[in-house]
Parts: sequence; structure tokens; C-alpha cells
Amino acid sequence: MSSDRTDPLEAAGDLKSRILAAVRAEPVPARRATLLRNALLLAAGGAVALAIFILRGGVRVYERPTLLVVATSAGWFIGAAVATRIAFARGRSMLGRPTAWLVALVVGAPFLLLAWKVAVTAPFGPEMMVCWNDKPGFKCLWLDLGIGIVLLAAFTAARRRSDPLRPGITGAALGMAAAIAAGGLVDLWCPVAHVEHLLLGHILPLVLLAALGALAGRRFIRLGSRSEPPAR
Amino acid sequence: MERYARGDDRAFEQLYDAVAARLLAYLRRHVRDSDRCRDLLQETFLHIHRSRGTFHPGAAVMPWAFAIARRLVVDDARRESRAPPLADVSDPQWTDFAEMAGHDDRTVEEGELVRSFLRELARLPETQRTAFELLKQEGLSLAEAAQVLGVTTTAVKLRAHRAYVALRAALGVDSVRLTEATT
Repeated sequence: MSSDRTDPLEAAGDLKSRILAAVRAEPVPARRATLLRNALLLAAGGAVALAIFILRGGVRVYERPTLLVVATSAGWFIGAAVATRIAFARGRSMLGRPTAWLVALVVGAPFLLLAWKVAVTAPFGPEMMVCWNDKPGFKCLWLDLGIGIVLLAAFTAARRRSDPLRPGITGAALGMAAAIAAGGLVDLWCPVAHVEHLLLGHILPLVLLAALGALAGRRFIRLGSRSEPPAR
Repeated sequence: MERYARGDDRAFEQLYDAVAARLLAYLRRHVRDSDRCRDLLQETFLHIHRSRGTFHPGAAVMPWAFAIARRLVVDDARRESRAPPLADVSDPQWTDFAEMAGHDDRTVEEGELVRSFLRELARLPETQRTAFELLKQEGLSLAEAAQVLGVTTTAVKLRAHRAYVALRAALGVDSVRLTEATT
């Protein structure tokens, strides 16, 4: 407490000089450079995700009507766009979207997407929803996770150390957004719409990637993780 | 902040002048050690500085800055394994603070009231105390306080109201008004 004995004005001036010097010692790119860096990160993540998708076979229609393929995957991609807007873009506040929005996204998206897939597929006839014994859903699960992890890594890198409020929830929402985008690609790839297959191969990855996102958020998106003690 | 985000390095000093005093006052209310308090102010500004490139045009700076400072206070308290991050009212700086309240036309009794107020405030649950502080002591709007806490404005209103009711029950209506004005 000895510093309390010094002249308050002098102490305030010293503190200001110290902080300004610390800031000058750590150059940080301005907005234009940061936006460019983030755009490159996201583009790289998207390119790798697409490469994985294409290497695994790309679009596979099988007996599905084109309209069905377009309709179900469009639902996933629209969902991915909305989820990314909620989870990644922070809106007008530097503190991101309200917590309730993020929680609603994480909790509601799996139910909505399952309902969408079933509701759109059912009118095309029961043969579109039959069980394929040789396709329980593990391949979809791994492909979904593979693509989703790449996208989640890109989102996390772009939002690194940015959330002082609830990085775990933000990370879970980012994981969900990545998983929905990956799910859109997997929906183009997978012809099976049997509910048990959907639960294992298409919905479980959403839950797993949200959980992984929560862990990544607490580790990387939280404010001050890995920060050094300030220089005196 | 907008100018700083666009690349005008000189704008940081103006940003510092605009927000440092309020942040320091907030930190002093929550951190016992004044050196640590200054360290946390420096960390807060470094985080603001590191985020310059992602600053959203038109976003409010104060709620964001308070949220960063609050997070650093909470993390600091956890690191130190301390109990809830509120300064000890028996600490000399609080004694000085309470004495300041007794200057000029204020009486010794009013100084004692401030001390009692701080003691009762420290006893409140963290969520209620923080909502009360942000609204009544830091002067943030409901929407800004809600942003800092990551909750709805209704939740902030409710928490602050409960804090006010608890303080009023402990100190009396006039005392709460007086100490609000003082602090």
C-alpha cells in the first residue's frame, strides 16, 4: 500500500504512461488487416472442409429425387447461415448476442433440423425413409465430425480471446454452427433418412461438436487465456 | 475507439482518458491491493488494445470495457483463491473513502453510514451486488448493465431491485439513498 502515499496526480500520470508504453510495445493490426486475416482463416477452413467432402465422394444422390436433395440440404445450409450469424457475428455489441439466443441455438437446432429432415422427406414416400442395414450412420458421424472440426477450428481461431462473458456458451454455439454447416454437406452425401440413422450420423455430431466447441471456447475464446502478467 | 480501430494510434490516449477513471474506480471497489488494481487496469486496456481490429463500428465501449474488467477481477480472485471479489471494507483505502464521505457538509454519522452501506453491500449475493453496482454506482443504463452481465434487462432490474430491498431493510430508505449518492 506504499504507493497510496504518493501524490495521486503523479501516480495517475505514471499509470497512464505505463499503460500507453505497454500498448505501444505490443503492436496490434487495425480493423482492415484483422478482417482480412479472419476472412482468410474462414476461407481456408471452408476450403479444407470442402476438400474433405469431395475426397469422400462429394454429392451422392442415389435414388433420391433432386428436389428432395435440394430441399433437405437447403434447410441445413440456411440453418448454418443463421447459426453462424448468431454465434460468430457479434451484432452491434462487442459482447456478442444475448446468452439466451446462444443457448436457444445450441438446444433447439438439433430438434429443428431432425424435424426438418423428417418432415421434408416423409412426403416423398416411405421408401425414402427405410432402414439401410449396411449404413447405421457411423460413416456420416465421422465425416460430419471431420468437416465440423475444421470449421470449428477456423471459427475459434477467428474469435480467439474475444469473449469476457461466457466463452463456453459462445464456443458451444460456434460448434453448433460448424456442425450444421458440416451437416449440410453430409446431407448432400448421404441418401439415408431412417430416423435411427439420422440420430446417430446427423444429429449426434451436432451435440458432440457443440460440446467440443464449449471446451474450445473455455480454452481459447475466453478472455485472457494465456495472457502474460502485465509489464511494469 | 472507432478511430483507434481504424488505425489511428493516437486515439488510444483519448480512449484512455475517457474510460480509465471509471474503470479504475470500479476496480478499486473490487480489488484490495492497489498495485494489483493498477495491473488489472493495464490488463483491461491491453485486452481492449488487442481487440482493436475486431471492434464493431458503433458498438458501445463502456459495457465492453466493464465486462473485461469484471472478468479480470473474477479470474484474479479465483487465481488468488479468494472469497467473492469485493474489497475488504476494513481496508485503509475504504476507511479513507468513508472518511472522504464525511468531509465538507457531511457528518461523521454519514461517514459511518457509508461504511455500514459497504458492509451490507458486501453481504449481498454476487449477482445482486454487481447489478446494483453497475446501475447505481457505475451509472450504466439497464441495457448496458445487461450487456456487461450477459443477461436480459429484466434480470438486471430484478437483481438490482432485490439488492435495493435488502439494503433498505438493513439500513433504512434514507440511508440507502444517501449512500447511493455518496458512492
